[in-house]
Amino acid sequence: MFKQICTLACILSLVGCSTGRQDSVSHSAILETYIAIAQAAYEDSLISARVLEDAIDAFLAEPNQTTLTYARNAWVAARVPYLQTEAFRFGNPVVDEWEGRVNSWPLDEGLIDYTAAFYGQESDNNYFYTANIIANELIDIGGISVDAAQITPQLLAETLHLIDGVESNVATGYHAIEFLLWGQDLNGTNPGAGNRPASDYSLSDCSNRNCDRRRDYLKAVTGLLVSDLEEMVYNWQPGGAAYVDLMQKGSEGGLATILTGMGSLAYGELAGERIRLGLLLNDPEEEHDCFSDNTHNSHYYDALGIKNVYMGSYERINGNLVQGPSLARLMELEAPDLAAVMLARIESTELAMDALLVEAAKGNTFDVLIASNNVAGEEVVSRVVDSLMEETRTIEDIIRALNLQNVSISGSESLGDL
Amino acid sequence: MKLHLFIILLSWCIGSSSVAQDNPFAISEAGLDYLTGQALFEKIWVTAPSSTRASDGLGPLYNARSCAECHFQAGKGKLPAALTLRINSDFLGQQIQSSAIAGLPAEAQVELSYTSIVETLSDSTEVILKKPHYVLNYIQTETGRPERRQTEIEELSPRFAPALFGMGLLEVIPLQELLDKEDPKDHDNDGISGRAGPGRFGWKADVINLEQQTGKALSLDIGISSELFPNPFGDCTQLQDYCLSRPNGASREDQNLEIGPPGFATLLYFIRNIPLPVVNVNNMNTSGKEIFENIGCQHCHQIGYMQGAINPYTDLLLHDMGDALADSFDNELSREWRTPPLWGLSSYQENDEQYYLHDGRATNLLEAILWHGGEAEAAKLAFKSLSRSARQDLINFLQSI
Repeated sequence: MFKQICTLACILSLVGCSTGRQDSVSHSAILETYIAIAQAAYEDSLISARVLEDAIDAFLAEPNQTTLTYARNAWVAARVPYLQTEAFRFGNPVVDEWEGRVNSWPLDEGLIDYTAAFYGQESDNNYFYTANIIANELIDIGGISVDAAQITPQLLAETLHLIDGVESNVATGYHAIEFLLWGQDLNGTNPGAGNRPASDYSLSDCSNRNCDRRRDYLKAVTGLLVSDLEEMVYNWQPGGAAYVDLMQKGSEGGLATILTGMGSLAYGELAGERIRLGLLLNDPEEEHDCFSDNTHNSHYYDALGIKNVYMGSYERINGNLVQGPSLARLMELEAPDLAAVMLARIESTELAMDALLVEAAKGNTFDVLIASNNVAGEEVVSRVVDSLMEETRTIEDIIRALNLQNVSISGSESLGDL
Repeated sequence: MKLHLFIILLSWCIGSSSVAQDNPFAISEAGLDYLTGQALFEKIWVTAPSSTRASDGLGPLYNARSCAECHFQAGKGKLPAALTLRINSDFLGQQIQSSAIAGLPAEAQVELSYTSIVETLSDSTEVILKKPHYVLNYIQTETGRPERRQTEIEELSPRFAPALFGMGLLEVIPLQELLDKEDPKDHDNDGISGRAGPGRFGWKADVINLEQQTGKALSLDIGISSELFPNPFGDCTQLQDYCLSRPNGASREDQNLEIGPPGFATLLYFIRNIPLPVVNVNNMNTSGKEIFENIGCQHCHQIGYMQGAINPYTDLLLHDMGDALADSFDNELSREWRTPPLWGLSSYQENDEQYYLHDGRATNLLEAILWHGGEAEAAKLAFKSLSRSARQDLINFLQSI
């Protein structure tokens, strides 16, 4: 009898060890981790955008191939933390409404600077179009005459915004800077990125004219990115708009937000808009980071961002780890089978994304993979789409298991059945 | 990249001004096709030539850069942005494009103003109706310079961007069911002489199906060429050489179109499948429904197609709606408008800015009803003589469907 009691006690204490109070994960603790990651990732985005700004200043001070390469590398590095913040976009309206300013795609190259009048290797007519802000001090934009004598952040953010909210979106953000650093990618579905000469910014030996104004544009648009990121860092501090919004949703609403962000980025945005659409249209530049051929990294770090918020762990650009109580831990306690499935899904997405990186290292960047006759490339890309879809289905299962109400991933029907 | 409209916590939709549509498909290939089509619907078109071959071709003249700019969240638009002006001009073409790509002048800037008209109901309630006027500033002329004086165009027909939910259902109603409701000579003597237009879509029932409607809107409003409307210059006429000299977005990979067949098909797939807002049948105001039928609204706003499976509250026929709503085109269609569907009215919040009728002039359902004339004159008069509570019942009913 005593032995039996002892056994029972032992069992109870064991159960206590795995689900007991000291090890349970509260919803509010998960939210704290989520906010800590948002703060760190936006701060990292800001820090690396300032590094980019310094690199661009150095390039403009002495425009040559070396300083240009340095600036381009700084841009690629700046994308790493920013892309990981995309998991915060959906579900947080403060972020989603702001996002168009910094990451708008596609970009209206012809509104900004000269463009070649042909696509890929389609035409021999190698002449350029020059009805753009950089080439014109006074120009009709959206049908309205605009005084662009001074290219300033105000001109890009405010004057264009007054014309039509959209015009400013297509002329600012990371991709505008990318276009100004790399130029058009004229290689079609063949390997190679944009190849703008450093002399496009030279005051003494200017190529493609208007170098002074091109310098002003690059400076203004980079400054704008930095100030937009400053705004978002502030939004995530206690009392900031994104922070307050999230707090008002309560802990259950907060978990729903995390899962909405994960699923919506994985499914509609990444699998659908950024990857499947490119595959469907076979457009060499329907890729995300088109001028720099950095799209593989863009997709990879988006997926990593999803993993970060689920695992409650983010590696900062200085190598420090931000981590805390997580959804992953909560699931391990509440639904261990489902938790294991989710880990497997995350891993298979990672493997599929790794394959993109491997192909890119071989010269098969995303634009090459989605060419219409590239069967092997299509397979690699389709695996990414499929694994993201599987991952989203499991995210839906998690939402169901946690019995969260009022959550909608890309408004999918199956959740409507809850 | 642009604001992803469908990914919204349902809780935010309550009290928000938007009509949020849900993907009708579960996570699947079909669901991904729908979302991909939605991405095209929201895609911001850019100037050709650009690196994004499949995203360029905007204009050269345009009213909007994307479908979603006017059909906001696939629902209705807002004034003045979502209004286009059809014209009949050898020089400017079929429509005023009030925007243009960088370096080109717009065709004109549209100035919208209103005069007030007071309608008095039988219980002496006064309702102020706003009649719109359109004046064009800086209209382009054949001299190559814009006109300095304000211009009033003689032939002008305003068109407001409608909500797109349920369009795919309207498309599948068998033609015969619509023709059965025709009564062009008013043989039944009810004062209503509905007649079928060449098609069932568009405010003038002049478009046969959604494929045509989508192609036409891409061409006229955004300046994007597709299989059915292959001119990459959209509504630039042969006389507008300043516009024709610009590069276009047609590319060999897209069969010399700015949106190739696969992209167009995907966009169309989305538009055809945009679901209707969910209606709670228990909330339907039954006495309002009776009034709707008694005063004759349902003669044109009809339901019960395909054995009752499709209930849009429209006959999709053309009706004379009277002088007050007429456009200024010099043809027999100027007083005629195709009955718009009323389904989905429940998705609009009472406190939000709303726009009803072909030019969005009515800001609420009461005003919309009072603008009715012509064949609907009798029904409107009956409405005006209703008691206050009966009027409210009718409006409550409309807001529940």
